[in-house]
Amino acid sequence: MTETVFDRIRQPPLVRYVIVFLVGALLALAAGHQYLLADWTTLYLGLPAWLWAQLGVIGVMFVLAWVAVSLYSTTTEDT
Amino acid sequence: MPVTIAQAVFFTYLFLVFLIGVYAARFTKYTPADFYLADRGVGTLVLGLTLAATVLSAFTVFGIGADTSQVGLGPFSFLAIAAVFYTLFFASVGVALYRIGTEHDIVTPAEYIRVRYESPLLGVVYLTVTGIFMLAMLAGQLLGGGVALDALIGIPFTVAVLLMALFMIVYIHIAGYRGVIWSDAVQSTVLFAVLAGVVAYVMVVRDSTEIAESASQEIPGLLDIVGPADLWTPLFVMTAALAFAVGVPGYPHTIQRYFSAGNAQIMRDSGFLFALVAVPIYFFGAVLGVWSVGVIPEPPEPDYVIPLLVETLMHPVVFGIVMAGATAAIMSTADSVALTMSSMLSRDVYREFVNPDATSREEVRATQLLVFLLIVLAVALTLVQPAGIFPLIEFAVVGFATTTAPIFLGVYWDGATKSGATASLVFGPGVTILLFPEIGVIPETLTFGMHYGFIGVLVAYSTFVLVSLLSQTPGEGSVSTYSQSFWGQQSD
Repeated sequence: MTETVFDRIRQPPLVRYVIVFLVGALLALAAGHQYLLADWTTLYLGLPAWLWAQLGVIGVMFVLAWVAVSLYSTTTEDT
Repeated sequence: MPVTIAQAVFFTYLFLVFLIGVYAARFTKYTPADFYLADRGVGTLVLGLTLAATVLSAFTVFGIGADTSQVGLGPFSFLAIAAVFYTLFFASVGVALYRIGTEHDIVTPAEYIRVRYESPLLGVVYLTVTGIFMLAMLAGQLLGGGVALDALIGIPFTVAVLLMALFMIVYIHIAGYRGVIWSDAVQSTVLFAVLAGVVAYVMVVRDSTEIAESASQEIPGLLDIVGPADLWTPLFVMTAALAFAVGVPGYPHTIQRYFSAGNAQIMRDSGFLFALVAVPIYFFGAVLGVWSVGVIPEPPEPDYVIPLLVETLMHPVVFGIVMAGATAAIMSTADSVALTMSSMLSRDVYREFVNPDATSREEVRATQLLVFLLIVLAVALTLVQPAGIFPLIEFAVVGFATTTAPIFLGVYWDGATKSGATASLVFGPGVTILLFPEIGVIPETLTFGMHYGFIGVLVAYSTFVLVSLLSQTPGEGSVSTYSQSFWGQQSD
């Protein structure tokens, strides 16, 4: 069977770089959105727009964390 | 005095929680593995929800609202970010500790430290240091319970605290860990549903925008991302988030839950379930707090803002459920803390130093006695009221974060040493205590805009690494037995 790019990502050492990249992306998103959303102060349903956008960012972060954890569990499940 | 609807709902709810404990007692075997860990067979749903309930406590229901009503929505920003990072810790150190714990019959975090570093005394040091933060956390929970009972039933604060303490002692004595986690699962679900209902009601039925505008006029800048005092800068939010991201997965009672998972996949999945439940509840507490300013501009006590808001806006039945759910969640968190602390004392002090030949039943009996003593100590601290709910529990969480290096690094790093662990457990928590704003020995200016807990974590981890590098590692046997490679055993 032909090896796909997803198969290659799951193999060390590439998987380790991908996981480190994902954790870095999580940190960048967590810090960066606070700079970008600072002026979003219009109220929607009693809450500022930045808070609604932040919920979206947190959602994206959960997806990235899920991918990182899935890859990590693939690489460590033989221990 | 006639019983109100809210009071009737409150007592009915607590009675149902008590019945869960009585039911759980039928399955409890009074052996250490069962009394502390429910025989290591906990599934994803219950484990995820008990983790959530352990964190969803007086801090979430009363503390966050009290804080956001004064400083803006920053607490939600850092807690939500931290929650995402919890999942990484559960999937890495959580799974590693689950595997090591199951393989070597480890029940408590102090026991892990004792065998990993071949030092019974180090286990006692860990226990003593975490004990300080556990007492702060217990006191924070009892404070919250006192607030709930005072606001709802008008029971004087002192009597309310004593009543809650009594309920907790009886509950743990009867139900053990199984009863605690079953009631936790119910608490999380009920609390989530009811708080979601209250927030949705304010958004859809009431004019939430007008309430928010009133709040903003009352405290200018309350709804800004940095808050009214420009406190919540990205640096402060990130450092607070990172301190909590280490602290919550590093609670001794969270670590004890790693040992109770049914398998590694359950451990990973329950970490996500926990975080996914925690974020909305953090959100509900935070937004109710800022809205409260628009409805009750001058509350008698900041810690009372959410009870007062719910009482003002909602039907008495909803108010009764919120207060009962909150009180029960508070008690289940406190139960977990007390059970973990007492199990460490009985297993790592009583059985190790006092009565090495103790039978399982005697060990459990010692735990039950120690639960009682611990709760008495926590009651004493609560009645002194050293700080509000938010600062007290925040202090406990970041304090726990400073105790994690010997475990989180010890699991992976074969260069970790007993001296490194000891130094870390002294300097990290020590600096945190001196930085705690209520004590304020080290001035806030020396945190350079970062959260004080993060400074403590930095000190703890850097001390651990530095001293470990300069000292001798324990025997190869204990390192290879109680540690594992971070990246697994696959070859490159």
